[in-house]
Amino acid sequence: MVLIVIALFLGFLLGTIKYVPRKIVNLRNALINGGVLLLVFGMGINIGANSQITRNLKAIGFRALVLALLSSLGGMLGAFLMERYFQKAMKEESQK
Amino acid sequence: MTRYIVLSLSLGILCGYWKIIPSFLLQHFHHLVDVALFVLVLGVGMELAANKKAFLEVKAWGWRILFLPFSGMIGSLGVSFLAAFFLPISWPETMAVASGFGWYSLSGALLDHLAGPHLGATAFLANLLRELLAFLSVGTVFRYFGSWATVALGGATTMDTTLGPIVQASTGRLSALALLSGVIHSLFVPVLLPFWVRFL
Repeated sequence: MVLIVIALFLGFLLGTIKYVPRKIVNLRNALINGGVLLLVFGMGINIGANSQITRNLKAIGFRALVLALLSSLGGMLGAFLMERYFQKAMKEESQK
Repeated sequence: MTRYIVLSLSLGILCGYWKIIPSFLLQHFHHLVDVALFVLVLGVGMELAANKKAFLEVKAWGWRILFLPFSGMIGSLGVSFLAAFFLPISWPETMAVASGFGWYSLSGALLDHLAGPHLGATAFLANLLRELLAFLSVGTVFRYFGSWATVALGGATTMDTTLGPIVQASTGRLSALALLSGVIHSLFVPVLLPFWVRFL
């Protein structure tokens, strides 16, 4: 958590200070993509090296996938409906 | 990018399974993850500085943005509850697993400790898959379902790991919303998860 705050602040500083070469700031998408790929690689190692998962893959693989899908879809649905509701309410508010 | 994500994941699984990486290196593995996270969030910080869209987005929604994580969490738990009807798993178990909101390291370890290795492994894999799903579908979800759905999709992970892809997909607009939603989701994981375990 502390790490994230420091990284965010440092990145913001790098992006704000005018003396930092544009070349560095333009690297930001590469940094994000590189970080994501490294993280996903780490996630892979976590799965592959976890004997609880590899041994019981048949038993837990399917239910884990279903639970992942349902919780993602549910989160999307809840927030989607909430956003729609607020958009409608704000529109009516501005028309009054 | 999707192709590279799948490739990187597969490579990781094989490296882990075949134990290609020596154990003395694996011990320091969490440092690598920290570095990856640092680099990623550094990029996000630069993006935040590069445009002011994120601040305008927060200003437009005002106090309403607090409802984003809460509607996301309620939707997530509500829909996950349905799994208890057709999977060989009890409802407190589905709720406990779903309460990880994608934070697989914490939810896996917590449930391993509280409810045994079987549910621990299920929570670990389910939440890891949720994070992976977010990585892969952020762009599509943003295009077809809008801002809030994109942020809620990643659950607790939008404050660090999936923050980068969300910022890229929304060209910086959603960075503040994602950070806030991720932090609130994360705060509720250690509260909600042990709560469901009591009903097991």
